[in-house]
Amino acid sequence: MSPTNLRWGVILGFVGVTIALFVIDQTGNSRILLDFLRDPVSSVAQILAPTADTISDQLSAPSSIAEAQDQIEALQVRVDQLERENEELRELQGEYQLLTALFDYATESPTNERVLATVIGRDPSPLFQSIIIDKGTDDGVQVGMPVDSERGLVGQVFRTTRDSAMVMLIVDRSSGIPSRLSASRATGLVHGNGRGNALQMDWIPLETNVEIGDMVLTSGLVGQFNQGLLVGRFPKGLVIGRVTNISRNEAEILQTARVQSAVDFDDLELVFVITEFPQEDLTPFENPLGDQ
Amino acid sequence: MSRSYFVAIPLFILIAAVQATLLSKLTLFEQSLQLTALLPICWAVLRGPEEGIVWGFIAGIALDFYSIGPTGAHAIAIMLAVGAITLAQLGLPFNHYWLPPLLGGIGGALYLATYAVLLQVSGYTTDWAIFNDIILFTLAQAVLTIPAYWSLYTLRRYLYPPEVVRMS
Repeated sequence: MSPTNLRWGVILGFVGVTIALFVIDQTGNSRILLDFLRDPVSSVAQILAPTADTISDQLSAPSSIAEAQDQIEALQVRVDQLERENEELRELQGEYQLLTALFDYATESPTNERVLATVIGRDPSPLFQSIIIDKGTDDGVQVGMPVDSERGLVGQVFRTTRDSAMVMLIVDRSSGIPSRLSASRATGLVHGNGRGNALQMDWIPLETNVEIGDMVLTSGLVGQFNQGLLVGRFPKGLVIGRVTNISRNEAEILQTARVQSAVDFDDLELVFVITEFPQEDLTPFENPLGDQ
Repeated sequence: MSRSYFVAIPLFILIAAVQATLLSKLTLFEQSLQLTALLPICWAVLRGPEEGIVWGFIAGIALDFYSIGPTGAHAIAIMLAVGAITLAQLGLPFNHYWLPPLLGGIGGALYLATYAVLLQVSGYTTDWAIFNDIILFTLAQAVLTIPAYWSLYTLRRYLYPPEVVRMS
């Protein structure tokens, strides 16, 4: 096709509509335009998800006996390693039970309400770390709600439709979680470094004694947008991970720590959306000067 | 209006769903496979920039339904990649077997780079580390272009069958 035959009106029209959509999205009004389309479109993913799982499993299965043999050997090494770890954990169990009893005594258990959701897809862009779940506003899921699994915090709901939701994972670079070190009680902000990379906890005061292996939990403090990070509101005490590395410079007033989550973000199948959790009363801060 | 536009709407709703559910779990050279972005580029190579850009618009909006990114950003990135690829095509040999994979690979990389810039402009924190493996990413898209291009080549023959000239 020669350039002179092009219908520039058509091209410019579509480019214009796209830029308009982008600008409308930046102003936060794209929901009005596109929400009625999101439900039927997400239904297609729900129909395809079980078939996609089967195909994915078959494609990722070993393709030859030699490859299967290698995998068996690797798994045997892993079994040996896990048996050693199991013995160590048995020793820790007694101590853990005692601490748990003390912890339960000292703190009131949070009464979080959870909705179980199945992961039906992932963000098609490699630049985002998010998942799509099969629960939406019809199930009580709303934007901003925390999502966790039996292994720890997973992320927060970013966008919803009637029967599905998109969850930004905590490993996404735009994610930020107000957090606390369990041992020292020092607070900080955990943000993602992309899938496959450890999380990073920033803003830890330099005088805090951080040790490798320290548990990192959600602090329950309220956040807001902060330097490109979407800082969400999470219930207090959700497990984020453990400190694996500390970066400390005496010339600075703050230190950072690498945090390893126990969640396997590549293999998430079931997650919980925390639909209700105890929240601090913030009404005094809405009008701090009072009615004058 | 071209009949290919009516094919593109259901095609990309399906392909975007396949990308979100299946292709997001598969990798080639440890790189993600961006089939939804590659198809408009291949179609532009086959049918020219006008249809390629319209396909890019539909593909981008379909991707946006499954992404937490800003609405319209995928569409802008794919349309720009299509425009750049069709311009580059003018200076390249018209019919060569290596042309589709070459343009698909470069187009895929252009799409990703444009999308990353748009995210940065929109206030998202962009994962620039992915560009450390941009050569492997380009190669993965080039390999994926081969089946994608030939599937669309077949579709074009079905939608626009060659005219038969009767010799009298």
